Amino acid sequence: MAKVFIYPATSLILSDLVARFGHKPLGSALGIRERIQTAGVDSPPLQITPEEPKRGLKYAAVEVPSGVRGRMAIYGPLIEEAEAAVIVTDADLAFGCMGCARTDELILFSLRQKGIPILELKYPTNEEEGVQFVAAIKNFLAGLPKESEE
Amino acid sequence: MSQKVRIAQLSCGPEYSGVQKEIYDAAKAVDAEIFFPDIALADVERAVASFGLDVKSADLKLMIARAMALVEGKVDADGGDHSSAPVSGAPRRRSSETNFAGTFPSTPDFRW
Repeated sequence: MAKVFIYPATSLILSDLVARFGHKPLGSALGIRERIQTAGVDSPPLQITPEEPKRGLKYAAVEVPSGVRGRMAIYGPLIEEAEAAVIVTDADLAFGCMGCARTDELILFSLRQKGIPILELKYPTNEEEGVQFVAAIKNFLAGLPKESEE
Repeated sequence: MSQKVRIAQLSCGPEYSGVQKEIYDAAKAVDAEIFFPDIALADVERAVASFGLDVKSADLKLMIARAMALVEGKVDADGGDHSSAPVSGAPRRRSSETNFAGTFPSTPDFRW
């Protein structure tokens, strides 16, 4: 089972596809879950405290807006963990909304720099493209190792 | 007990900056409450097209749409003129503080 970073990271459809084909999806849900399950309500709705932008300094320089650094505190560790990635560009907002375009650029850059297998697809706009879209993801995931190298 | 002053939050990213709690605390200090105007996904697409500022970030688009909903009177917040009828004729919605349901509805224009 490979750890596959999904982009948009909030996409439930992508997350479901990756899980359905036997791999572990790495997306927003994992990063946010860790924070909202922490006891007490420190900083709702996402429990992002001033510590997160500081942790984000590992991935973005200090002059980068704190919102980007706060987001990278969530996505950065997931990117480090990723063994493969599925990237869907030009996605509809309802497919998965990432919020910040500058963070998106940094996430995609980090993934491409990492040298892991990446599948980049354009968001399908009709049924035929949709079928090809799912088939491409299925083929890509089938080619990934089922057992992670420890 | 008097009703709290309702302040609409129009912003891009403070919940990821670690300052959201400060905003809530500041509102609480003056006996007010912060809320996020509820809008539909179709409202975002419409607002971006009609406002005319072509931004890339989805959060900015959401902010524009929320601002337009307030200006058009579709969403109620305290501190503005509440006497006039909504511009679009649509009923005003009172957003709840934590209700995000209206932000991500299933829309007929959802493709694929």
